[in-house]
Amino acid sequence: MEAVALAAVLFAFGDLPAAMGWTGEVLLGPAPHVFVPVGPVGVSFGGETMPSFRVRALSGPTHVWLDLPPPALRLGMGRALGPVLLACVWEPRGVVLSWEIPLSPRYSVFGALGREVFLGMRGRLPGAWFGGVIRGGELSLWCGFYF
Amino acid sequence: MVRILFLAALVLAGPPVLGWELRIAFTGDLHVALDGLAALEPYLRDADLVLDAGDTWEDLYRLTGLAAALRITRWMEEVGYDAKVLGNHDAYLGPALVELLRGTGFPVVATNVRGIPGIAPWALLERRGVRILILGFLGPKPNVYFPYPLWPKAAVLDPAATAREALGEAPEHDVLIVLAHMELPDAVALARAVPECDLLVLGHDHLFLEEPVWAGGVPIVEAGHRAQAVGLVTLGPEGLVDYELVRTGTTTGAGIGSLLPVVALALLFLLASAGE
Repeated sequence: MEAVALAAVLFAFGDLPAAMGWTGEVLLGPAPHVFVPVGPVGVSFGGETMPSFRVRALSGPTHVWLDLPPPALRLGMGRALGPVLLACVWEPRGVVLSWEIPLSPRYSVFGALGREVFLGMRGRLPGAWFGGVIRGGELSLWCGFYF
Repeated sequence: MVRILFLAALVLAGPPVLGWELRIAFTGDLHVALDGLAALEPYLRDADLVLDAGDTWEDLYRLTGLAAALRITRWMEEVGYDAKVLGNHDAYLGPALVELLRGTGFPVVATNVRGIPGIAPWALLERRGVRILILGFLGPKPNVYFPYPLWPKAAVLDPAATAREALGEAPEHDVLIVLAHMELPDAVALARAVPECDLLVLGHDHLFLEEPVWAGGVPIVEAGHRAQAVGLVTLGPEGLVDYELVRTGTTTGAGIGSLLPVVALALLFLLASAGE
């Protein structure tokens, strides 16, 4: 169950490439997760709520999205500030600042600050990534495939 | 009688071919500087070919939105832009860029970019009977600041290698123009790798090049940023005939102080976090 919660956190706050790039993704790791965008609505499977929905309100350069239903209720607003992705995600329990900083075309660090805190690093290829996330002092390894 | 026949033959043969001249006007790094566009118009409307060197649709200093990008696109269509290259700031639009590209009335060229729907590998135009091939390149290095996480399926390939590959596949042409969005040293390297290029129009580093920079036999030109200048080039069969950089007198308010909205947002977040 803890792994499912971790997948939900990663999807909610650590997956800005999918949230802002609005691309489908299969996430593999301690708990699998799938996100399928169809037009302005995306469906995700694998979090605490089965399934949950993500509605895209603005597709850029300022990105706004809404996750439904509770307990996955969240409102996200993000922007690419240069190559850095930055997003403020509000949910009833508090606010989280999510970020991703590319160190090179192949590597980036990402994480969250605020109510939820974690740090991750990923290596990227076009269409795929692999990396690790440290949350609560524990490391988990993940890979994702975009479609 | 012989004289009359000779004159008749001369008239029927039409005017002798004296060569051709193409007048090209170009801008670069407009960064949705809507206030300065009117000053560019007279120069652009007079040209045979109107080009842009990228970073048209977003300004990080002012955090501009999609509405401004749409406005400048409509203006570019109305003035008669023929092609532009994708800039890194254009890519900051994210998925909105794909929607924008669907409705843009001129090709957005990025020969070395894969995975962004709607961009063209090249454009072939004909003006005054001259076939013009236009290739576009985005710098692949980190200092071009392409937002890779925002385009998880995209790849920016090596410009020189992709140029050689594209020229092997591209249709026949009389003139080759490269639009490049990268730093000047990278543009020089690209020009040396594509010596058959007749003109390289550069954007990204906001240089006001009063004279062309020559890389081998390839002239590199650049017209500043934010509608403060327009470049005017005349090309002929032998290459560059004339180049002039015209300052429009437009000034820009962009500077470090313009980042205040971002700083204010960050402070707001910190205060909200502290409150919890």
